[in-house]
Amino acid sequence: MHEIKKHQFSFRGLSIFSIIIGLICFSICSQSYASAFSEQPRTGRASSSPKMPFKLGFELQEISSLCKWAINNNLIQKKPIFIIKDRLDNELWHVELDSSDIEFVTSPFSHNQKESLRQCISSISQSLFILTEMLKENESVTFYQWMELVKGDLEREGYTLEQGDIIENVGEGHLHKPSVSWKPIFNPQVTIQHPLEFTIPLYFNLFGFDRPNYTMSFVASLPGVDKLKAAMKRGNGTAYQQILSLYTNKKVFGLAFLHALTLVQLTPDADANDSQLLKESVLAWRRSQQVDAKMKLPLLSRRPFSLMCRDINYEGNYANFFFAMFGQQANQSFFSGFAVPRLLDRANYGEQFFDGITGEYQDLSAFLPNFEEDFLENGNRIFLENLLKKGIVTTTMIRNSKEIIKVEGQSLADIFNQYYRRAIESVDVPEHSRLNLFPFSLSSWEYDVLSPPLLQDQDNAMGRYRDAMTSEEKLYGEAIVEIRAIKDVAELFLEDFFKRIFDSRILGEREALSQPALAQYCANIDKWLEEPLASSLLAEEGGEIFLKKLPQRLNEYVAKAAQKELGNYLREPDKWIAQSLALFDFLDNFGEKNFLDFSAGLPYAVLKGFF
Amino acid sequence: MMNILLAIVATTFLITPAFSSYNDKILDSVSGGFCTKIQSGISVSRPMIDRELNFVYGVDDIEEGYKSSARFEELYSRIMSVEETAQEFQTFAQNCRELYRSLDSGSKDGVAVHMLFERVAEKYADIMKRFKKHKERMEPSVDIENRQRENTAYGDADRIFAQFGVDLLIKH
Repeated sequence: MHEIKKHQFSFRGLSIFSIIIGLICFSICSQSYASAFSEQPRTGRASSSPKMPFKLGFELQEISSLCKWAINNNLIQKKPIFIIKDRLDNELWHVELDSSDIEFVTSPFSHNQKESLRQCISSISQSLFILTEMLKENESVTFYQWMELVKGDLEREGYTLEQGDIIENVGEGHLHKPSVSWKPIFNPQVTIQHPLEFTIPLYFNLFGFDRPNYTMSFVASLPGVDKLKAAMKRGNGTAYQQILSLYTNKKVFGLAFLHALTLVQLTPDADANDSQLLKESVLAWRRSQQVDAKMKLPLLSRRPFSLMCRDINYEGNYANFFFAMFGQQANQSFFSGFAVPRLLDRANYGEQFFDGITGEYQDLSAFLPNFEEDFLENGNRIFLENLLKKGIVTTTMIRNSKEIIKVEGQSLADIFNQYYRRAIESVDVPEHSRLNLFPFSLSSWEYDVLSPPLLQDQDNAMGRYRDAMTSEEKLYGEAIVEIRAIKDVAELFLEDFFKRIFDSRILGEREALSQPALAQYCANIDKWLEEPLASSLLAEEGGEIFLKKLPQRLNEYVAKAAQKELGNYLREPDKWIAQSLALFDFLDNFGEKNFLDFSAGLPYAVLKGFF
Repeated sequence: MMNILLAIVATTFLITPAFSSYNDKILDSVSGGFCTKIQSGISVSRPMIDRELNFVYGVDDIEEGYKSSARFEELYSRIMSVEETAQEFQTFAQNCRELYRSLDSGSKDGVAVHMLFERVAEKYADIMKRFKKHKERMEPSVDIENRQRENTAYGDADRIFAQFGVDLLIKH
């Protein structure tokens, strides 16, 4: 830990060093490529490069467990309760249940739909405000009662409210206020569709280059990153720039990054024994009522890797590409540090099984005798009983089931044999048979083994978008990625966001600002910072001096505001509109500046001490 | 640090039943946010902690350990005795203790500070452990530069990079 601390010098400081490296590399780089491949790498993007096409959607889950009664009924989960449509009858958003929580789920919005996104988030905020006010007056309200007021309010503005198919089952269900002082708190997720070649620079720009818990995994997921490191060490600017160019231009590199990151995050700690993995599942269920693989993933691919591989028409063999780029000679962090090839077989996650008629979870206690005796000992029995009673089966359980239990000649434990190799090879050659539990059966599957991960239900979110894309959908890219860690976007991204907000209110107008306007401006900043910083400075220095010092002050505010927001993005409803539009703008303007940031930041991330 | 914290967490795990008096999802979300700040070298102030305590709804069903100031102080002392603890984590811990001491240990907010402190420590220890293990497993003796110089034939990755037009060898 001490060594890690030692290396926590500022990104900005080192970025100068990185930029110098980058510039040197740029200047000495020759631009000749002798590739036999159809796609030729470009050396940086011209400012005239087309913008990144994208679609952006939001899932805003209120995590106060307002509907505890819903958790035991799988038939009403993740299905629209009511739907809000705009004047043109397009769905803007709907409400659904996610375990015991309500969740606002928006439609995806493309680059020319910013106004629709604004309307969408604004109308969600209105509806949430209505619910909040109702729960101030009452201990609980029904969905019907809430919908009635939402309908009245939004239809005055031209929106329409439609009831979902499950309304008869949940309409009279109550949303209970958990405490007198309740205020809504959200766990946000966003889903972005984008072309694969943007994958690596996009996520590094969003999550930054100096975020230990993200950067380490991200760098370990860069194909052949040790070759980049070697080029940097040797001063081989040509190779450095060429590899960097592959990271920002070639679809197969973006695919491999996303694929490798999934594997890194699924790989357990080497020291964790089966008892600890079992306890980890119990704890996960108790804390969030979820045990599936996606819990471990900051970025989750909603499209199967095998489909994306097919889409990009990679002319080589993807498995060969992956094994080479993430082998011991090319990526030590992936191969030895996280030890993915060695440890993935022990990936720990689970599936919960439900009764198809009642929707309640199945009591699988009768499965207990199927475990090896030594697994039932060591204090595991109580955890196994606990999980099975809730209908939960985990990969760790399956690995410890008796060898004699077979389905069509295949033992349950065989499911996870050579998981790593199969996770890679099934991207190129996806056809295989999957072993299903409860009821035991084998079924053919035409997607890679991570889509969804072995043992998980076919409806699992990971790799769920399996339908062929229309030509219109293809325009927005091959990847559909759920960013489950969106609340943790980095300071660099946040600083851009705050600069835009503050700049738009002050720059260019400051000479003409009256004292009352300035005071209002400072009050706005104070509101963001939740402390009277700007107002007190204005009072101390007076308007004229304050204005002269404004650029410097602005940077101080921006840095402070960004720090404050870190780990909180999209969690607070009163900031939703500004923050969702800022993310939209970030994607809409993704281009030259972001590629330069990536060029400057990546060497820092790669060289940083914790690797 | 890691061993001490994980021992604390393991003990808690075994004795803590599921409660309806607090919301674990919110506790997890809030502690995750604080951990992100600490990891990024940002101090978590006392007012920031104070604003995030509304995940405890009542104390009647809360396990007695969380109402014990002695247990909190013991947890604090054990964590702060670890020399390797990062400054931002220490600041967080000190702010938690200041806030905790200003509250009744058996009150909703007192219990909430106690639980939050413990959960952040647990998350922080988990991440630090992962870093440490990752670093240990890397081969310290491997010198990429020398290996590449000695490697006259392209390895697999080199060959693929070459197919993409990357020239890994410096030409003099």
